[in-house]
Amino acid sequence: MSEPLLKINNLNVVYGASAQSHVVKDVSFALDAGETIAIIGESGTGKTTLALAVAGLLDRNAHVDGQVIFDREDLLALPEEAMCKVRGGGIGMIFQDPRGSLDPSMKVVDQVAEPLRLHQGMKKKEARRQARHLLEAVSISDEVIAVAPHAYQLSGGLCQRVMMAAALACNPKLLIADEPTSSLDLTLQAQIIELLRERQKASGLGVIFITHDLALVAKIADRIMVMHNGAIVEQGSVEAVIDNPANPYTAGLVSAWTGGREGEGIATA
Amino acid sequence: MVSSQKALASTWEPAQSNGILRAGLLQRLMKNRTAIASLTLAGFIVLIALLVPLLPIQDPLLPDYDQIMQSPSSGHFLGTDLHGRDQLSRLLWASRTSLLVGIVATLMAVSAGIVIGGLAGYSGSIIDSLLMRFSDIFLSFPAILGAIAIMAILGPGRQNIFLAIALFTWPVFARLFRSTILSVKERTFVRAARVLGSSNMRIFIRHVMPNSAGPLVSYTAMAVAGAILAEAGLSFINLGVQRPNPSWGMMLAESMGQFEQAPWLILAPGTAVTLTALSFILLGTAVTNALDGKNAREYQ
Amino acid sequence: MPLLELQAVSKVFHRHSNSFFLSTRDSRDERIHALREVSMTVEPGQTIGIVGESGAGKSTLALMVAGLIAPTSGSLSIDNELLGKIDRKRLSRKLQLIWQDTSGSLDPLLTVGASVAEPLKIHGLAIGNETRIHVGNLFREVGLNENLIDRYPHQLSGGELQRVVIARALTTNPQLLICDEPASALDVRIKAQIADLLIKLQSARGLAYVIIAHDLMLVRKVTDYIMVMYSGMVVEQGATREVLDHPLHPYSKLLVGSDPALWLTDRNHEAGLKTSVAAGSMIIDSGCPYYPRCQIAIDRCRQLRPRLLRLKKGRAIACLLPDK
Repeated sequence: MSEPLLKINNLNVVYGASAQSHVVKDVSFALDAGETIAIIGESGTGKTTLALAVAGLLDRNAHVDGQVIFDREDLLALPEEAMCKVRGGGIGMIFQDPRGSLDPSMKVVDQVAEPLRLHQGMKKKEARRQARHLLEAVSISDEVIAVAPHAYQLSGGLCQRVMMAAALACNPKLLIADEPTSSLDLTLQAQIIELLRERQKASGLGVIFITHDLALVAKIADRIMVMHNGAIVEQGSVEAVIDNPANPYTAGLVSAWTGGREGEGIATA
Repeated sequence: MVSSQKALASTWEPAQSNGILRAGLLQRLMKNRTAIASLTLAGFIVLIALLVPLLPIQDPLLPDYDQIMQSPSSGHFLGTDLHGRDQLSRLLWASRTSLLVGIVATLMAVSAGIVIGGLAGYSGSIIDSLLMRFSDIFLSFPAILGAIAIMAILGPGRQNIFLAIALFTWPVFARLFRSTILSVKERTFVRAARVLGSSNMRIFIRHVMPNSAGPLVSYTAMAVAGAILAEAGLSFINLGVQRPNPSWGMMLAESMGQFEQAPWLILAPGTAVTLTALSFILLGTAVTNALDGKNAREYQ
Repeated sequence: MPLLELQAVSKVFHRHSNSFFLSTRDSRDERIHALREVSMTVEPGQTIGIVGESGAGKSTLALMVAGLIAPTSGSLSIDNELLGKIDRKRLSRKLQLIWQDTSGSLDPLLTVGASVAEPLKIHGLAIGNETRIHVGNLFREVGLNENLIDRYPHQLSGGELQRVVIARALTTNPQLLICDEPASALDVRIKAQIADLLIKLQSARGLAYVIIAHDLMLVRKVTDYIMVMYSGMVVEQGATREVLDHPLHPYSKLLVGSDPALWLTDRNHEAGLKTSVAAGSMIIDSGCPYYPRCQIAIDRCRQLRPRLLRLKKGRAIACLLPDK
């Protein structure tokens, strides 16, 4: 593996014409196949924008500049049609709001089957059969689907599993997970995280995991990138960053957790 | 810093200010070109209507049978009509009728809509069902036919026009206000006010009303345009203003037969109706956008 | 004398369509048990945590104590007065609620200062220029810059809004604050700051708290005593340290095992969550509501509803098989 799966060079995102809001500032990093990189930072710091820029999903009023090389192709230079093939085919995504990401009026089986029909040209019946297998892999049994075929009948945790099944349907090489568990209960969060870890080990998937929760990162990631005000302020292996945070912001995140456990905490502003 | 703090302290009394204005609606409107244009135009028309009695123009009711259907000239900027009356002065005086009908009829409809819609939305249950079925009765008539029927029964006259138009406009306001209230009263800050000990009346006036006013305000501007057009329509079929008082609709009706000899007689009131209605419709749209864009604009 | 006392409080919601003209009551009319015979007492100055997943009845409990929902059975008393007998205004002087939806609980058309001033006016606690001074003091007490008084909610950050809402709750000088998932949408760092603020306010004002949370960080940090709820039922309660360090009920074990904080110290910690997913445990009428998800369940669990069994040191657990 000499060539990384994803290589981002000097990525900049600016909203609007006046260059007032420079949301992503000169971000560069590389991700190998089978590796999980966590992007951590508080809300509004540009994490989601970065993810959307990689997937080519930003609005027209966002000016994206730099290189996003995925599978030896610069995604920013690709026309929209080709980009559609990459999304769902080569890159899968799961989002924070699992309920909102699913069409309530469409059966979940069909939603998982959709990318298979679109990207792999499967027939309806075949795609559905495959979709059932995929749902099985995220621990959603046929009985559950029989009782509750639509997304609105499922809990948030189940919806996120469905999203994961759909995102992984076409065996993508890269999965972008944007705060996939922050709206879920603790036990469901742990389930999703373990499921993700397991699927990643099985398929050698590269994962970009976006979160504001350091503890999740410890479980799932190989490397951490800390984002603050649109720029990467610190990166390194999980152990290195958690044990010896170099940046004050990161140190704050770490002590919020450990401080909470020891009962010391940080002084209020 | 200290002095500015003091200045703030002396002016700080938010309780009585109007909800929508508090949220900076006017400032946002001023950033929008459509809003500025429509506000200017509507303002200009209203100003003229107010100033008409002071303007040095001829008597709109005085016939002059020596000067029938004159084309525009320096003596009569917009020419004269079938009875030799000055078209410009009739047009300007008619603006008073149109605006008065548009504004009064809409205000009547809005008031009825707020009372009935508010009562239905805030009380819920059977009162809500009954009031809404009652409004459905009016909604199920084609509005203009209903208005024609009322005018035919009551006879022409200004007050009757107000009534006829308002009678078939209020249900829309009631429905709109009710549905906004229903969604607003379920919002957390309304329930929070309850826990803080607010009385139902105070919650309604302080929180529910201001937060429900947005859609109502934007629709009101459009309804003024609708009422102006309705008055023109009623007057056009001689069910509106009493002769010889001028109204744009009536001016159109009177000049219909002379279109080929004197097209200016049609063009002037036609343009006036269109411009006035347009300015209010655009104003309504601009207000809607300004209200919707409240959060989107805060990006920076 | 307890500040708040709940005795065997239950709440059943009926799920059916209800309209004046279209009323259908078919056989699918479901009974949803939001609370099942919950009892608790809160002493002045005490902090009690309630944990559990969404649908466990935590928010129903909060709304009920705040007087917004009436219980189906059982009784609630505050300061030795039955909740149903206290009018809204007087109740609001005794306890206040911090809503989960922080920004939604503030009127978007009022400045945050005006929102905080609102209860002062309702209760006649301040008039004229006094109001602003009073609001300023409250802002300072919760660690907010006074310059923010004239801002609108959308101009403030999540952490600042959380403080505004806390300041507003303090206006009526309540003895008890019910915090429904405070700071749940905020990042961990801010959450820790809010926890510190709550602790500070408690020692300054002698407040009692009921803190509802679905994660354990805040609860671990702030509370003395916790109740673990599942499907409307209290399945375990006891001193916070005890319960979190040595959970007894299978659900508590699952919950504690899912705490992400464990991953920080042990990356290979397995939450061991291969359990199947149970839908609609709230409609289970008999037996243990946790039965469908429980790994140690036996047949008896399906028929018998476990009672809350008192152990020593205030510990209690509702499970037929507490030793397993």
